[in-house]
Amino acid sequence: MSLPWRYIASKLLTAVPLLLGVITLTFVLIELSPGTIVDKYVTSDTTPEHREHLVALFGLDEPAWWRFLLIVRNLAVFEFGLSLSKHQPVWDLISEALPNTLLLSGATLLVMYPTGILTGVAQALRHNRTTDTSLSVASLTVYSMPTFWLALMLQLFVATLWAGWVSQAAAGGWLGDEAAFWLDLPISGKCDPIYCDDFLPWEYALDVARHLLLPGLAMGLASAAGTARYMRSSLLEVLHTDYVRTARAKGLRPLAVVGRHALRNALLPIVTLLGLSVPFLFSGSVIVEIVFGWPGMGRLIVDAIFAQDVPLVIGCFYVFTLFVVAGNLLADIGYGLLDPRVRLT
Amino acid sequence: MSPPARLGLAMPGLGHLASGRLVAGVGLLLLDAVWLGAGVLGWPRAAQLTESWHGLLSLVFWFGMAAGLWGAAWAYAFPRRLSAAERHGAMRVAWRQFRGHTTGMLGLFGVLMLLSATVLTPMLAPFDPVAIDVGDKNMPPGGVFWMGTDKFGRDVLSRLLHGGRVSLTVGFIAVSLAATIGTGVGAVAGYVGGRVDRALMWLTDLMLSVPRLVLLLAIAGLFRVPGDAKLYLLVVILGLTGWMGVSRIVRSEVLSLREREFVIAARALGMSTPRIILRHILPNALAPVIVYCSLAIGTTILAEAALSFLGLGVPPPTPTWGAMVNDARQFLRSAPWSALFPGLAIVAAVMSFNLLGDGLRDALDPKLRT
Repeated sequence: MSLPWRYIASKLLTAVPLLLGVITLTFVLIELSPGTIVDKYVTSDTTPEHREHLVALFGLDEPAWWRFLLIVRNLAVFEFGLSLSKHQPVWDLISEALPNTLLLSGATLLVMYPTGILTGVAQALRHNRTTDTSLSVASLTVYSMPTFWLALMLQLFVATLWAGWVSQAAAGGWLGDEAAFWLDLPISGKCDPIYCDDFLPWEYALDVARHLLLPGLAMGLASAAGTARYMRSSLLEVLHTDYVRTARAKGLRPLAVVGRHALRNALLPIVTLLGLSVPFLFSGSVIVEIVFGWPGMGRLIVDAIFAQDVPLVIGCFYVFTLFVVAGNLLADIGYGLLDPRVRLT
Repeated sequence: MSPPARLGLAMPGLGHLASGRLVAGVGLLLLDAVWLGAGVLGWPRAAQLTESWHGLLSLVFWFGMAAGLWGAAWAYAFPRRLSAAERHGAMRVAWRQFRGHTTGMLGLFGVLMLLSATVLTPMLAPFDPVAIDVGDKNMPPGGVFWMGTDKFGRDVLSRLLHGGRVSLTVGFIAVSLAATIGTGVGAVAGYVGGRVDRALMWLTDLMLSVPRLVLLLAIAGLFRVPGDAKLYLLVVILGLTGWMGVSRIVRSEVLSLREREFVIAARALGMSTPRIILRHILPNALAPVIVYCSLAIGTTILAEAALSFLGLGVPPPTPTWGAMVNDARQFLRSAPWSALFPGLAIVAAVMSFNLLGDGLRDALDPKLRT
């Protein structure tokens, strides 16, 4: 398999001004906003000398253009600096939070693609019948739903009905104590606060998965609705093409027509969607991480914004943009590999 | 013309219902219900309502709405004979297409109900949305409080109605702003081409590669403004972060229209570039923009709700749907209604705009039909 290296290289080159643009945008926003981090340490008792000392300590006595150039140079060599509010290297904070967000994004994709694709296919195959209409209504409802509300309703369901069922099943002897513990789904956090340190590796993995279930479901269902709408129209379009009619006319089983001939082509735009969905995944994770107390990038960036922590905000934006650029690139390359009609030059 | 259609003169909607136009009939009857409810609840308090301009506006709007409803019933009962030119006008053709589109009509009536309920809020809302009564806190839905009360004893229904005004105002104005910016950027990029096109599309890509909610959070979190100024800030930032879709649509439309004969003719006649763009290109690129805007109002309402939910929207005590859901989190298990109803209101509003957009797409642009 030969990858289009020239294309990848040229795309990566265009990513540089894009990254520069995002850093500039972030920096200008922070500079224009009223107040600096120093205000958090200043009280009515602070002497002017002490204030000046603080300003110098945070490096804010340098002119803005110089600080900007410094940030750009440092980011170019992945030097993220020190967080002003958390007194830790920015890179440590990001490398702690990023895997969690990626885990959540992975869980989202695991829910989103199977649900979305299956729904869309079912709708297209039963076009304009009861199945199609009812699934359309369902997916449009979820599509119009705010993610935070869906997340809260899931929490409500698990905290009341689900917990009740589990405790009843345990009391009735249907479930062992162990099973009841794992099935009693937590509604926030990443790991059980009491047992987390004592877990065996497999127990730890199971516990994280159990904590991940609800956030993944909330974000996955919210995004699955869009995928289903896309999949439905894409497959409907393919089902009306000449070659599908030919496949039907030569007597292939309906399953073979759909599975071998139609679905392959209908899935192409969905693959592109995967790469392009990165910004939406990050947007959604901000909300879901806050509702479910998931320690990821979304919470980190919100904390950083509230604290006016310039290095941390810029670092988070930088990492976000890197992933978006990578997602776009993957979408292009994937499309080129899967669809021989597309030539990447 | 036909006798059953005249039933609508008694109550708008009955005529449509009697002659078999179910969706329009039920939709008009629901609008009647909003109008009647506002009348019954509002007129006894009319003297009090005239004190604020919101109240005064709602009283005036109530008469306007009556005129609209009965006007629609009259037009249906006694249709005017149209000349051929009138019959083939672009708006009438689109309306005839749209009228037959069930889900699109559902969306249209949803939006109309939302709009009328919003303007009539001072007449409809049974209680003061910000009046705190600790004795009535977390009351379940019932006879006095139809949707219950929240943790401060405030009526959820009244807060819901008032919250709708923020959502709709922000949605409409922000999307208008976004559409204006996007149309400008797209038209210039597409028509002028070359370096300008590349620069503007780079800007579009740049804005698209930052997760929108994160950018919104950053701006709303960094620029703390007091009170009602926050509303204007929200409108501006939602507009400034929402124009990229429009600019891409307009650009691609302009690229294909630019080479058409009528544009070449206009250029040959010596028309100036701005005039060609405004008079000949943009009117032809309008349909997809309108569709996009209808869908964008839905996403904008969602974005505003998310910001309010995170405490970065219009500050309390002004009710907004997102903030209401956030307030309800503390007593989610014991008083779920104060989170349930605002959420359902968001779903209904966003869904109406989505259905309207889908219907408009099918009516305005037969090429796009799926």
